[in-house]
Amino acid sequence: MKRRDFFTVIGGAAAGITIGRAGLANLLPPRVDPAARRPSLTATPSEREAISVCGGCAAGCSVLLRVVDERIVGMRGSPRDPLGMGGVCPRGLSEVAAFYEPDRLLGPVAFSRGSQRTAHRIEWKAALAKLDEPVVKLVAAGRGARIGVALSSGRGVTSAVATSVLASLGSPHVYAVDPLRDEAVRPTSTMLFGQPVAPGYDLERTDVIFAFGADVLEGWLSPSFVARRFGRGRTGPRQLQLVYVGSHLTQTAMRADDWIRCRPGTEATVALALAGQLLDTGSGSKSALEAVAGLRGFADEEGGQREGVGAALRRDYTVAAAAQQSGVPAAEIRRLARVFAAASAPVAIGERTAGSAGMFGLAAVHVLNIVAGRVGREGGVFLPRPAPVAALPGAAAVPGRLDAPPISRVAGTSIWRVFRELALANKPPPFDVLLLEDGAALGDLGEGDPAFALLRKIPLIVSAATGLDASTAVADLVLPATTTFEQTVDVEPASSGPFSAVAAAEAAVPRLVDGRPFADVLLHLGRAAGKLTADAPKDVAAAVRHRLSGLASAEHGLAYTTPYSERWNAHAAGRANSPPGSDAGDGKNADAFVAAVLAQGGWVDPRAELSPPTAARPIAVHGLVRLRQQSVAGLFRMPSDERAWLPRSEHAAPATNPPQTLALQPIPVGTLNGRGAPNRPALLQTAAPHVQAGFRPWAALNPADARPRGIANTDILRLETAHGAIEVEARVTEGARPGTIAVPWAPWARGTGRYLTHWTAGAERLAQGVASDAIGARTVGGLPVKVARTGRKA
Amino acid sequence: MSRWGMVVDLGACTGCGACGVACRQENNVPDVDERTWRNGRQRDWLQLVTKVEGRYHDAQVESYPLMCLHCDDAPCTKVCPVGATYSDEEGLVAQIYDRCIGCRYCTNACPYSVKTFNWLDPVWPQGTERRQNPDVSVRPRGVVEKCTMCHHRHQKADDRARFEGRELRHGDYTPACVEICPAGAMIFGDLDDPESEVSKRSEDKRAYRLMEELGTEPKVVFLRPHGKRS
Repeated sequence: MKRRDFFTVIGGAAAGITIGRAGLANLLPPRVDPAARRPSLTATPSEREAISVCGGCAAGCSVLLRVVDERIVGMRGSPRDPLGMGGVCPRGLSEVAAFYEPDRLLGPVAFSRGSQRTAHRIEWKAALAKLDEPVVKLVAAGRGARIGVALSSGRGVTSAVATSVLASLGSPHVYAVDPLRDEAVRPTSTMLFGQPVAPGYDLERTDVIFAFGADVLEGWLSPSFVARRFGRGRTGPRQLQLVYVGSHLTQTAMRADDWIRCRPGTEATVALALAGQLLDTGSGSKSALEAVAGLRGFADEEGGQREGVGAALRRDYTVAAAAQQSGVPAAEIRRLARVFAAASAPVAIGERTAGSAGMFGLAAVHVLNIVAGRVGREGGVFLPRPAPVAALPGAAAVPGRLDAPPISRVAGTSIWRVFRELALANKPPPFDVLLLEDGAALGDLGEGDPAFALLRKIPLIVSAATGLDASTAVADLVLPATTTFEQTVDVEPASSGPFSAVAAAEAAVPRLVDGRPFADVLLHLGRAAGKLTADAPKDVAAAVRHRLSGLASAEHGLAYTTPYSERWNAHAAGRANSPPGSDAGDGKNADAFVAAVLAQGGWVDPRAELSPPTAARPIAVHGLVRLRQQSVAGLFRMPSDERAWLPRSEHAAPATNPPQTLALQPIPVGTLNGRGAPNRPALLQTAAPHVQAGFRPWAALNPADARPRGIANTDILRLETAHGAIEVEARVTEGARPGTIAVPWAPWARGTGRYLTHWTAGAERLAQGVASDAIGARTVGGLPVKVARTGRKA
Repeated sequence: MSRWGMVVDLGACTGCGACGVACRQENNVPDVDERTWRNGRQRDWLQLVTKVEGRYHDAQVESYPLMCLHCDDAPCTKVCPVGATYSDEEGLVAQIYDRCIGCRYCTNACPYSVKTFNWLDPVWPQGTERRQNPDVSVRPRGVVEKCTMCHHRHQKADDRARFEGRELRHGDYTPACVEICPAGAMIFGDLDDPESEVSKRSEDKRAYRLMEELGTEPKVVFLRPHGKRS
């Protein structure tokens, strides 16, 4: 054995042992990385800059990779990107490290079932055969609807290919699973705006942001866009004011002009009190107020008289009542209402995590926007316009989705919440074959969740991922996926502006491992079942080109260009009379246009068109606003597209600080969210102190609460509620409100990678089985928590 | 001759930490595991410093990115017995790793604690060495390292300008942290050029230098956040 080979073997064994601490080592084959080689020291390096799309989250930022000798050695934001304009967030930057992650899967792995799960490496041919067999049988038997796909994102080519292929197979079951932190967004949008799409915020023209527990500066929507807007709003002539309402000193609170300290879980109460104040003082837009149906009262479907939102606000959410519940002085609430009313373009943003304050929290914040007339207005809330990409050829949409009424209570509900409901009702699994992409936010659930039990009853689960993730625990087959750097890709960025855009690029570098794009696997499946039409794309690159060809025929829009950004800035600053547009190409040569879009990193239609609150786009509350009146059972009977309502507040009442318990404040941690497992030490150790993930779960508490309990930094604490218990590391800080304990949401709490071996618990584990809201999410804000030292140190 | 400096607008900074991650990638700062991190043996050329003062209800927060401030009167250069750290002709405080004997006098002399002694050899788990920037050397155990203001970028920009037969222009040379900052909170340039933005902003009424009273004359200037209510 040569010396180098010896060290390779030793290194591989060491890696296996390290992963073993995550409980997964015995499931992995020995690591042999055929692509691993040291950079050449003799050859002249070749250097180029390649355009690509960041795959770190749904924001879809266009990035430039520095490639030396076909190695990615650097990354920066593309200045042509209309959102980030050259900036990249830390999570995006860490995608380079993720590309070379030592725990990245090198080839397909098959797992056995049973208590002693074993794994063995198999070839792609065998892996695909294992997948093809049951799919072909199901389709031949006319049971294609027993096949399902769960994606980590519903915006882009992978989602389009999945929808097209599954429709060909006769299945409607393609679900984009929002991560835990975004779970409340689409269902709330369904209820209030009539569509299960995430609303956008016209922050480019907002002058005051009211963040109600929203982590707007910590990984919210498009972090690079928000950071750029925040930075520009603080240095240019037009100032941007940020007001944060929340209990904990988060990064957003730290940077806010005004931090309103409220009790955990009472952000919504403050928002509703502000809405009530606007009604009382007549500060809101009169026309917008008139548009809110049911403001003064209405007759329900049984003919009974119900009170409107205005009356309910004035009765239940008076300033005095809100002050008592939230701990925010009444004078402060009145001052905030005056600030909101005086601003020219204010907007309220709520927390997107259902479990923190429930859908009630986000819906309450939107009620404030509605009452203040901030829906569909400049600087306000709007429904984004989809980009005019061409639909992929295939069968028509198949009805029967699980995430819509009557099976699910609200359209847009996470498929895993539906699984949970089915499991609790002792129903069988809805699929015989389930394909998961990038973990599909399964790690959010926690292994104790009933959904996991139902998942394990599915005969074949196939996971496509770049590395080990939560889906490994249930998958029979794991297929190594490619990163966005290694494949042609298009993504519709998570909306942060009133325009539509598509980020797109060809493969920037050769594939590092023996992986394949998930879309290619799906297309293979369609062909194996003999159901794809002749004009179906042959691979993901062809699918992207087909989709982008639809942009060529659009009337407006252009490839990402630097002059565009300059013109957009001029427009935003009021120095231009009209937005740029319509120079996307003459549409005569679609191929050349698509090539230009891919070379430039994307396409954007810069018209600032806000979806108006009209019947054509039912963005306003067009149904009846109900407050604390409907029952969960009643939601089943209520067609979601006919009614809009404010869900009942189901969050636990804030703890009144009895000496033995503290009130739980869940903290979203941007580092831990997004696609894939954050097995990236650069993020774990260098992110901002108050939002950093650290190498293990933590709990922050005030010195006034720590001292009498004898708690010091790095103590390992045991936290216990009536619904669960976890062990975390103590952080003692004045940033935590006295009487509370702040615990991060830990969606990837399964120790998926060598740097995450201790990440096994988070706030959601303290609420297993807590009474759920309309979408089945657990709501934990304000839960009383018992805190005890274990006597150990981190 | 330029006098390079930086302005960090803390009113615009979101504290996202992208500057730190970009610095690690650009300068081959190795990742560490939890044990090394807890022992304080990680190498951070740029870190986010956060101070919370007062009690919860009136807490005052100070948060800023901290890197080598490239002082005009740098204490570290005065104590180095072997001349491994020195101020170059453009005012950047440089570090010659081959010359450093690891005495750590400079780390103790630095009032800002921004110099890192390498207690351990860098560890690059299998395959991760492929992301190393070929323009920057990987430092061994036993030497002191710190922010160089991405001096290698300066060299490349200089070479390019010379090849093109021209002077270095504004914007030719930008450190990685400045280039990547999504908020545009970091501004870099020639402090001696009265027309440069960095020069103008460094004279802003919000401007201050860390531990100004020590007389080290740092060339990284901070701008205080706009007035806060709380």
